[in-house]
Amino acid sequence: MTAASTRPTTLEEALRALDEAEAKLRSHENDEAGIRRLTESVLRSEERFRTLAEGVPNHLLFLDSELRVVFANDVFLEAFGWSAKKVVGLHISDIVGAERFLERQQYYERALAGETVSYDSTGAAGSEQGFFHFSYRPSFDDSGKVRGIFSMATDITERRKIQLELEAKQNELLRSNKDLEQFAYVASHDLKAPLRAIELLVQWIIEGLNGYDVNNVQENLGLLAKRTTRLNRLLDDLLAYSRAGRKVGAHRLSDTHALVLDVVQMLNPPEHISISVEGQLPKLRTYPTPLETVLRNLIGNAVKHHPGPNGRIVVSCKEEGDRYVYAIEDDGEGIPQQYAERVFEMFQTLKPRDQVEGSGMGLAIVNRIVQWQGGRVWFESPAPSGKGTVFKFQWKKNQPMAANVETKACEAAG
Amino acid sequence: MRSSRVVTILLVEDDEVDIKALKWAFEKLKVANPLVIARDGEEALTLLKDLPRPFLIISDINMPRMNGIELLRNIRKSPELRDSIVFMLTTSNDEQDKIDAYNLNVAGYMLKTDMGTSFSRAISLIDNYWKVVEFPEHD
Repeated sequence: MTAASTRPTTLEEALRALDEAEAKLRSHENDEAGIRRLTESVLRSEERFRTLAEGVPNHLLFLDSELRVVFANDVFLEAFGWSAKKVVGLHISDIVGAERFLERQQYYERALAGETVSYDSTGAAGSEQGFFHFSYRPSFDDSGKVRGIFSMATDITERRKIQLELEAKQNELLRSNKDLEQFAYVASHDLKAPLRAIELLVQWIIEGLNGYDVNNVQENLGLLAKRTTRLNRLLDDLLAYSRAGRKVGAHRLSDTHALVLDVVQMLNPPEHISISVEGQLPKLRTYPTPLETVLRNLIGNAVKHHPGPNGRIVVSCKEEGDRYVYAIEDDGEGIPQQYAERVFEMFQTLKPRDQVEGSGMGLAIVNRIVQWQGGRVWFESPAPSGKGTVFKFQWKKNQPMAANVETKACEAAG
Repeated sequence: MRSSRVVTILLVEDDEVDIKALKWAFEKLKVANPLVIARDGEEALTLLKDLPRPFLIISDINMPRMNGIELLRNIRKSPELRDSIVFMLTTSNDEQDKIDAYNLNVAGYMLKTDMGTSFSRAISLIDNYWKVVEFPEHD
């Protein structure tokens, strides 16, 4: 293939044509007609190369082996607002800045060593906001030495944004699928279990069975009442769970100190358990209803699971960057760390429901709400003995309105 | 050689009504084997440390702290307990639970379905089982 006879269609082809033409030029040093022909072909190739280079919608530079600019296309020049005259001859570090140059130096060096390098990074020259795909392709001379690098930056901001949105949606879909699966599973167990017990108990009561104490109607009726209450509670809490983070109520400036005091009053803890608030809890612009649900569940759990005889529960709050970390500390039995994940799952209890009545949904609801607003919840054991538990959760200082919450969630997921 | 000793039955179950139903099924079928009850997998593992052999385990799946599948996993991992005979008796009709249970070599997977009769059937099966089947010898 000669440079003159075929129209190069890509930059690489144009460059190769140039290389070939140059090589031929050199090998025809004594052939004047040949030189003339080839010189023309070189010039044509170069012109085509420029046409192509200018036609690309990307930033395109050709750097020599010392990383000085030999050529910059219009897209690049426009992005910078510079003239070709000003740019040609500049070292790449003068263009991207010392800091970026240091970050990218390794890629330039690899390209200069003959490797084609590509990577994605923020902030191409002239655009601090965007996200770019960079590719450095070495260009070789006849002797196989690298004489320079083609540096191309493609703006992939839009593509990346869509990709992140897609990933966030996919994650959300996976999560909701998992929720659904879990729901189907628990519906067939945890909801069915009390129903089956009710069936059994009714049967026993009707039959007035002989022998064994299953014919103790009084006791069976008591169990029956407990099971119907439990079933009711499971259904209510399941509904609360499905609503967590969806029905969020009003958005307003809330005094969380007063909120906690209200919660404590509503819980009406037994006398042997004291609940205190350490310092002054903050006021913040947020959705108070879900926050209250979280606090009510955590403080309520500390009260409910306290073995007695005397209990002390302390609510406090610490500032950490853009969020507050609320802590609810109790001096109860403590929870072994091995249950660190399980306690936040649906319908999980650490004690048989016959011992401590509970749906096992409280912490699942808490977890869902806290995650919805972009934080996390966990527990720590304050004492080396493992006694006592501190539940901590992060709450955004200034919760944006719902529309923004969703965007934020997408970004976080991406 | 047939073991002359009576098989102890460890029932792992957290629901008191189910425990009652099972006890009643034992009584009705005149199964007089010693019965030990654990409320979840963790308690079962503790009790198994000193449970007299030979024994047979009947376990529920959904339980607090350690569920039946996790209990099975722990049993199969333990050099002392790995040869245990375990039946699952559960409300879970979930395919994955069945697959997991059989992969962990349960002797049988039984569903708590209707009112009580499923318990009687299960207990009579287990009663026949221990009378017919040879148990591994232990010192």
